[in-house]
Amino acid sequence: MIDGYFIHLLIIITIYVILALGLQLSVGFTGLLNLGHIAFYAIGAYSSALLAKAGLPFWFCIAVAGILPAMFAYFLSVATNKLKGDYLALTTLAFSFVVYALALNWAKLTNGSLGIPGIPRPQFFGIDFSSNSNFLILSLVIAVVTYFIIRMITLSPFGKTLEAIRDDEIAAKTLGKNTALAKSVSLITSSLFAGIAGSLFAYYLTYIDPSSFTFSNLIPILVIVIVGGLASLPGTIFATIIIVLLPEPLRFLGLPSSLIGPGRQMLYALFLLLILLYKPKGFYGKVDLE
Amino acid sequence: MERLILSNLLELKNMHKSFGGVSAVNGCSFEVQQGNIVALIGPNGSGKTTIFNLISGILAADSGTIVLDNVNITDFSIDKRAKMGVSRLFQQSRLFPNLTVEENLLIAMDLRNFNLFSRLEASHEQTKKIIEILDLFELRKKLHVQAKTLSFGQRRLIEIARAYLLPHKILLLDEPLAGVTPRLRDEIAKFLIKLKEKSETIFIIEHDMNFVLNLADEIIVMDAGKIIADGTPNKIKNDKIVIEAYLGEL
Repeated sequence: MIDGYFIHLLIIITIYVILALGLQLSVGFTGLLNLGHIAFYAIGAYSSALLAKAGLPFWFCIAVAGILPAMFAYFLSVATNKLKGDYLALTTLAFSFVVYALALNWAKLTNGSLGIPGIPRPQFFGIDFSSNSNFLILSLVIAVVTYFIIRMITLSPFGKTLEAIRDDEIAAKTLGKNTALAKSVSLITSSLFAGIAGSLFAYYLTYIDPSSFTFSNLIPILVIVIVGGLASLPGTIFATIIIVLLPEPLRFLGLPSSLIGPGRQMLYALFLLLILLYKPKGFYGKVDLE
Repeated sequence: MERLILSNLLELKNMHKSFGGVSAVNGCSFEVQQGNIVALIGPNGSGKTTIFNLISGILAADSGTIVLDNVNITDFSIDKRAKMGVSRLFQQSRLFPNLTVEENLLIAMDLRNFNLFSRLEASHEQTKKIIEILDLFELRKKLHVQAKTLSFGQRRLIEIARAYLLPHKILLLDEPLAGVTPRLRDEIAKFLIKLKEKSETIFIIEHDMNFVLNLADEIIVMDAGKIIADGTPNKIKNDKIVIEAYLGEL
């Protein structure tokens, strides 16, 4: 029982690590206040769920779950290229509301608020991922690969260009950097990993509905990025573990389920306030929050 | 040292730029010749930095033409102009504060935009260039520190180094001596004299008249968005209009 509970938590941690690392690339490294991340997560989850239910293989589904949000991110980045700060945040937030509304109301495709049940667990190379321990290995491998890909990007000349854009976009342009294209690639890469995380989420729960993709579901991911520290990958991992585990004691207090959700949000808010007061750069951050 | 004048490297033709009815640049035309150091002087608000912003593409001109090395760059983006060889030092600090000094310099030297699969590391040649310039400014020990930890003067020196290390045809230096200590002024002055000996093409805005008169091959004087005089330092020093509009203030 306890083993099963811990495996569940570890799977959630790996999925959140992938999601948060993607957000760290666009927010922490590039300085794009991207509030549309949860929408890319949703697109990945729904596309993967629908394709898996149609009997398509896991690798195809997860690839589409990455590519489809990346395509949406491309169009979003073209539309928002000249926007910064609050304006970019508002536009990407609006995008996340549009995707949520579609998930809720395009019932023919998404089954609306009833959600999509019966998503089959992956099976490949003769391995059945129906058991949670096997699924944990799969999600852990994908999380580790994600970490090393994002790390490679952030240490590359392109990654340093993203940081330069975050610090001073005009100065980066005067050094010959095509900042519009770089921001676009950053958002596309970020959304690709959000989509992959969404796919794993759908496969893991075998059921998705729009309530998993509301703005309030983005809050813990944003908190992870801030608490871990902007532009810090080890910080992202550390903060993911903390943020996933933080509200877990609420389960054991005997609170009614209607209070656990708001209680979780209050805990995140309180924790974020404490971090901002006592560790304004997060645990491992090197960048000041502005 | 004998200086060989090759051709016009930069040409501005009939440039106009207004902000809400206020004319910041009003019909300016001039050339900067290859290998020359040209100083742009004038009272505050005369339009000097606007001229630099027009050349580097930060502002779009209302009308006029900018030609760099026989290529019309008037409609080019900022990054394309930089790739064409326009390197710019800003009046205010524009280092990337969260990057190290080395990263600030390397990012200027490495013009590959989309290399995602290798580390940003200096080649042997790049390291040599970086160390050479940091030694000149006595800042080698700051190589791996974040730029935001540097003092104002140190930031200024690194910014000058960064503008120099960006592969360029022309250096636009906006008040390189502003706000630095006398010792740093001497260091920067020595560096610019060294660049002059290397026949670098430099377009410089500077208020220190003694420095400008000693360094520049040609001086352009602006007032209220217009060019009121241009010529050799000796000619400018004795120009009545210039004395009234600018030098007389000193």
